[in-house]
Amino acid sequence: MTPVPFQWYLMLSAAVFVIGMFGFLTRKNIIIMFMSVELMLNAVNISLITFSHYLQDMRGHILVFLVVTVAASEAAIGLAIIIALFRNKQTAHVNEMNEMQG
Amino acid sequence: MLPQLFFGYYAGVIVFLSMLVVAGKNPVHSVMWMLLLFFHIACLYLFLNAEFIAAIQVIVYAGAILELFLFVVLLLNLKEELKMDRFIGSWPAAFFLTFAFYVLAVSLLSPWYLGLPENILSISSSRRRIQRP
Repeated sequence: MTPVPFQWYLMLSAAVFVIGMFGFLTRKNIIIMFMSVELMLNAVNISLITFSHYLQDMRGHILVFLVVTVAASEAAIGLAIIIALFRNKQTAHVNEMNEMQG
Repeated sequence: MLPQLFFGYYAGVIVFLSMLVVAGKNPVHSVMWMLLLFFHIACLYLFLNAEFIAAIQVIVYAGAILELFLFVVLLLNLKEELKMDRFIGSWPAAFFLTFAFYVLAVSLLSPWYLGLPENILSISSSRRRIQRP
């Protein structure tokens, strides 16, 4: 059984990253933008685990721990900020959040 | 043959689900597609012998971060979301730029850049022959 070439994993990681980037640049809803950021972080995780497997090095796994931790805390704080913002502005579209005051 | 088939299924489903997450109309549906996506990514980690990371992925991402997202989506109660435009006006430019970025990233995967050359043993032995007096 031939193994899966590692370039396929990296192409998958790049594809998911690019789709997340497109969603972040394009969507108006702030929650979907946030989910696109999580998608990009997952793409980086796939790439790290791929290199860790094909180079037989455990440092990829360790960096994935770090990235997952940072993503979790960033999601918590970002969503709290979004709720506070929604309480003031009553909208979830970034087009209408164009004032710094109030 | 069989590992490549499994990988092809998981890769295709992951790309398709991420497109559904990004382009979905209803934010709750996007969160559900993201849950399925995280489970497929965890299965991909199992292919790469990363069982602990697969467990961490399911527990942390699918079990905590998506909970947060779901609560916020349900708290914000976005009803007028379903009637408005989803994308900003200049989305074709963003599509072209991100596709160009993808082509650039994948073109760096050429076999000339990564890994050792096949004749590494003969290279090192020839160098030893030169250094001998």
